[in-house]
Amino acid sequence: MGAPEARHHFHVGDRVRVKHANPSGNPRTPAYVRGKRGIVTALHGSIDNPLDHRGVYPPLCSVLFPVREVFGGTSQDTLSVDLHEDWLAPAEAAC
Amino acid sequence: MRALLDKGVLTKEQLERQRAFLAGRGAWNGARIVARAWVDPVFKQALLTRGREAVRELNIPPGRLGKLGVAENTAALHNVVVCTLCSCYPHDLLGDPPWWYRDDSYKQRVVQDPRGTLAHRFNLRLPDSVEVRVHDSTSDVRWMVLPRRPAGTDGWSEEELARLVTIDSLVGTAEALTPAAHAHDER
Repeated sequence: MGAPEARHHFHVGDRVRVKHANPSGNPRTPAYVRGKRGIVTALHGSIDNPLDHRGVYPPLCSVLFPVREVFGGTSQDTLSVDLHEDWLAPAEAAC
Repeated sequence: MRALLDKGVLTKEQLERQRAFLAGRGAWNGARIVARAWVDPVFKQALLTRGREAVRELNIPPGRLGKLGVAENTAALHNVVVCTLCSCYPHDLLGDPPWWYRDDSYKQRVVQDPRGTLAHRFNLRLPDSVEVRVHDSTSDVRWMVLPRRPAGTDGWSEEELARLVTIDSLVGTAEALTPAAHAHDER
């Protein structure tokens, strides 16, 4: 189960940008959100997931993206993607 | 498994029956979880905040595949689940997802055009006032949808309510059955 929020670098409401690069070989970020900006909506802690990961991955956030930010167009719909913090940077910073 | 089949210990029919049983049991677990959440606000809150730990009170084994995320549908928000990287799903708790959950065309289309995919592929047409939110499950959090309780079900028992919950409604490509649709299915 998730660890407490205290270990998170980001907070709910933070604006973040997904990195383009693949930090420390962690592949679990869909290509379509790389380089895109979103808002952190939930913190899940560092989830013990030995069936899927080798070793412990960084804390996980749910990040909300407007479909139009990711794919263009005029959609009002949203995408919530669970991302490990090593993939995230503050939205203001270059990455 | 292959060895057991080759030696004749297991027949393909036995295997298929077991698969169907497991899939059915899983979906029924999901239906019971949803029905309890509809009638018991304290359980619903526990489910939304503590995930799979909450299902123990239904004597359902909580499973152990990461964290269970529960996305609640409301009058203003409709949730739908996908796993674009593979086919992550809380299958230890809910059984197998629908077959098309693993289909690349579903994965690609539902993230690019959530509302259009629901309308054209699943005949679920949602008003513009409802936000459609796609949850891309990336293995650590396995998402299920908590559908809305259908109108016209006041006073129904949990067991009756559970029969309105379909596997598609747990993924969010359908709403729970209406009493009228359920009666039609039973005939």
